[in-house]
Amino acid sequence: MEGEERVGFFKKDISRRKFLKYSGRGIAGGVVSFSVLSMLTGCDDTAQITGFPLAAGILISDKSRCTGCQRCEIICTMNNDGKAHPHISRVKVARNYNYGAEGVTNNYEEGEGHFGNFIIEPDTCHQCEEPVPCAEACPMDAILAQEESGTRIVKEEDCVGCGACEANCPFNMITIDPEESKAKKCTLCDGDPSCAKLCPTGALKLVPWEEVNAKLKKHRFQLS
Amino acid sequence: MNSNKEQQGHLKDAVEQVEEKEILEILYEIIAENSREIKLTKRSDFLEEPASLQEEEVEEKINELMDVKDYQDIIRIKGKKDDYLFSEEYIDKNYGEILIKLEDNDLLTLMVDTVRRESKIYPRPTDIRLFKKAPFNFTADTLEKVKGELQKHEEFQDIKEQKASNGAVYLYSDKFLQHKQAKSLTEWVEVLQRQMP
Amino acid sequence: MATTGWTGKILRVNLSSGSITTEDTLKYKEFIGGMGIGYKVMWDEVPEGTHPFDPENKIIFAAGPLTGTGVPCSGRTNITSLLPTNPYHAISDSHMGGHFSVRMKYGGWDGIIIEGKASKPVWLRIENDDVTIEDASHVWGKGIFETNAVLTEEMGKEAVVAAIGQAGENLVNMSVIINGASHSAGGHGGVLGSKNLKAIGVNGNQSVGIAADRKEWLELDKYMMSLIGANNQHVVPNAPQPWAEYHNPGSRWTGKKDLYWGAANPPVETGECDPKDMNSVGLRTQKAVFDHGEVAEKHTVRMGGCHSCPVRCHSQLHIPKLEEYGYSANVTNTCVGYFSPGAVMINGIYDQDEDNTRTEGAMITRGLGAQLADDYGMWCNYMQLGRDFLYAYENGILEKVLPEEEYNSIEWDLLEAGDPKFLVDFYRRLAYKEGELSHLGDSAYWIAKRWDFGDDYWNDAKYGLWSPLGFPRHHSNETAGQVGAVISCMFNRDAQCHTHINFTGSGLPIDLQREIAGEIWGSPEALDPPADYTPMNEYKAKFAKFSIIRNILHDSLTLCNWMWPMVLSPLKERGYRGDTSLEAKFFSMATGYETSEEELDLAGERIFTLHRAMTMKQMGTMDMRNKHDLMTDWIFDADPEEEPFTPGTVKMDREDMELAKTLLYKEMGWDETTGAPTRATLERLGMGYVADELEEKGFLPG
Repeated sequence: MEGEERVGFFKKDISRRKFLKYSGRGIAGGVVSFSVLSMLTGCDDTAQITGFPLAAGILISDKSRCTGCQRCEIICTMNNDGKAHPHISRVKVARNYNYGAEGVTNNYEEGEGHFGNFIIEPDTCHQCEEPVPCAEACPMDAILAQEESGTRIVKEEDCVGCGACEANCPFNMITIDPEESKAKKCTLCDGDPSCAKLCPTGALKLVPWEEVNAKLKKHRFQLS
Repeated sequence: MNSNKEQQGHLKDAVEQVEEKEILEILYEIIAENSREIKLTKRSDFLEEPASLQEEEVEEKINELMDVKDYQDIIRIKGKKDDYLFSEEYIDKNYGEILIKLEDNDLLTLMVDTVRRESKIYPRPTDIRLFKKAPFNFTADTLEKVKGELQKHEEFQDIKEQKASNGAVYLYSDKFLQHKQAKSLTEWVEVLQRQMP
Repeated sequence: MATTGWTGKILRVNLSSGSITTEDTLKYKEFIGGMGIGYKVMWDEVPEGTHPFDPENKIIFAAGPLTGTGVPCSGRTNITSLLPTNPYHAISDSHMGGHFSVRMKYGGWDGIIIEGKASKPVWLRIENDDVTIEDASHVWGKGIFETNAVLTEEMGKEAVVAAIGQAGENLVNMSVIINGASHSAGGHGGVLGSKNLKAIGVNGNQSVGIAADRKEWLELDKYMMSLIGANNQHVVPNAPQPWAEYHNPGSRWTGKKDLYWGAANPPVETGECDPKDMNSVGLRTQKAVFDHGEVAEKHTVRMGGCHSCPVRCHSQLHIPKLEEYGYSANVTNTCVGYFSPGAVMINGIYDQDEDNTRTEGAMITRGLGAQLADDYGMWCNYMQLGRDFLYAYENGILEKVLPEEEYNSIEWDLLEAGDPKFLVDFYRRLAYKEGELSHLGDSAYWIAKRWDFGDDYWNDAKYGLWSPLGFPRHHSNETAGQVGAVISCMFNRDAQCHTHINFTGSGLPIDLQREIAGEIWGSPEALDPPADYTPMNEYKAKFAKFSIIRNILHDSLTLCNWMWPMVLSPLKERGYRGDTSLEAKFFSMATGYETSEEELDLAGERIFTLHRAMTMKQMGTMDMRNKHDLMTDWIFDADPEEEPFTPGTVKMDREDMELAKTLLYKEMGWDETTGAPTRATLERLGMGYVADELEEKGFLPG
């Protein structure tokens, strides 16, 4: 766990702003570099974790810890929609729960999911930076970038529920609410995601900047 | 009246007050930091850096610290070797007392107090394997030695041994548990409970 | 206006005629949901004298108003039907956790009533309002795991399938219905089999609404989560922890520093699990090491469990050695699901230690057995299967009753060597009803009759029979004395009640437990110190009644009675008090029907009393005291040298237990002589029609 080796390209005294910018240049938008994640979680396997920098900290999704309770889906929709409605949840676990993202395979006993090797991946919105497939597909231009939070949000009054965004999202994240005919998309709850706050195993977790800073410090790097 | 000298005096008082506050804050920080890491703070730690108190002022400063309203989470317990302080926010009093006896290396009292407490409050006989686990961490040798020590002391004669049907050894205090109840509970905890999950 | 809490619709499927209809849930509102709906449908529609496997029998899968709302620990499904293992084929419910009822509600359904019998194997496909009866010939004869895979592939990967295995198809009395890989409901698999119904698949994309404002709801959720403990609502840790005032080695709160999900990548440390940390609630219960001992730590991939439950009580293990037996290295289950196959190995396990439970071999045996039982869909009658086998084996009965050829074909050498491979053959015989041995699957009452077991079978504590009706002890007299004992007499199978064991097993000191017991049940005398019992009193009756009523409410709402009610909490600053009004608060907020704790408890009383009335009709008696609420002799004759109510013994006293029944009857408003509900009580509970019917049949007391 030597700092130099683990944090690689990080420079000493890197500012938080720079950090945000830098880490925001991963694949498909605001993905935190793996080396930082590995430092924060102790996880060596790149396939296990993803992270997004938010105003309040880094949102980590760690599939080695997800137990498939799906409380995140319920809390998401209770918080955002006032109902329990996993279908429109902005974090998606149910679809990966039984047989993993691939669904039933001939070798399901060894594949992902509850009927396999028990690995369950919580899917979260990638908040794509450029291009933004859902926004590009929207004929009403109802999906807008929110600069300060780094999220893309649906302007509900403009949304007609046509489903173009849903069809165009490469990650199958944005979803049309069949009861309201509106697109439902992750807004990261204004920087304080309710799913992460209440995840009972920390599979989704918001690591506050202070903690990120402290850990980086420990590894001889600073976020100023 | 507003002579320079007086003004300087007030200023000096103010500076001292600030320093006072600072030293109490420093002491609190030391205790809190240690407690966060589940470590006790000893009275003698305050003689070292960063607190660097003089022997003659330690007592007074600790007393002052204990009076600060915001620091009511601090618990002070006199041990055999030293005085110990910790924050209840991170270490429960009961756990702190275990740590103190470990720090004092007073393993016999630790064992006796643990067994008596369990016989009294839950009540249950104590699995001797408990002492091999954290935070006790006795080695097998230490455990045998301490257990052997028990019999040599008149005042610990209330501590009795009870075996479950599978041979596991438990201890109880007959001040709080009658033999028959201890026997029955030993069998329950060790064997029967697992058959009736 | 759309209903909230409930979806408002119940599905009725007649497999004989193929008719599929919809009913209004709210006509069952007084019965809440789940178990309550099940009992009411059975009372109204299934006449006494019906055999569980007759087409006239019905089976009801039901959720409640809290299922699917996300209330912590609300993933239970209640199944009600006649019970083949019961000597009178009396009504019973089986329950499963998992995701079935939750998914059913997202499909828009509060319950499914199945009636009639299909002419050939079918499965029921439910996708929102789209309900079809499908041909099941491609999965008939297959195990539960494969059935699940095939039907999920047809329906889509989010679908949840509840299925029977070969045991249910072959009408084995002791068979289960399972959803997921490990969530089984015991006793009713054969009922589905008798209807030629292999499985029910559910899927849907609808919501479950709540009446309350979302902020209020989330506040209540947050408050509830502050009170939640570990599995079984154990509120103190298993070993000393820096944050903990108390600890208890019986606690399922096993999480601590340096304890891992060792087969996770990377290994996940449970850590200290401070009660205030909401991101480690699911790490508190490292159930693998609790169930199997330290050997299981390195095999633990993670914990698992039910929808909406933050307390993960199923251990999910990777045991490569299982592949040597031709089974998957990945196995998940919990508690009796693991222990029961271990108990079938009546000669022990090859690497047995002094108590034969904490070895690698024991874990492998249980992992293998759990897969076999869950794939074939075999039930164990709460571990009774192994004890029935033991009695027959050690009394030389098998040599007598099994034909010589069959006897010689059994792999006794494997059993004697403690080789788990024995289980592969054993479970297959039972599930396929192969030969005489398979009658072990008929269950205790029937096999004792068929093979002419002696009185010692019933009356020796070793065989664990609680009731002459053929079910075992399950948190009985060893749990709070008369409280557990009288609870164990009230149902038509083992009581499955955890309210009382969760309280006594919480890990708190006895004085504190008794103090809290006093606040809830009127006096600290409601609870005796462990193994230091006193005679029966009215407070124990109140404790017993509360335990049953809440259990029944939980199975109706549906909440998990392995966690609920929140009588206690891990919070020192609350004096470890929980909050018993939470169910009513969630119910009110979900449904919009403002309901007090007392009013909701009354609904529990109603449901329990209906169960009583239905049982009386089926047994053809109103003398429940002497015909139903029975105990075997060992309960009174254990520890022959000891007197009851002396320290060290948990034996009961015959007269005192009759008083225990009397006092519980009194609390319930039942006739104190017979234990039958009175007209006054039935009317108080809004069930005058039940009184009328009982009166007509001559079962209404004086």
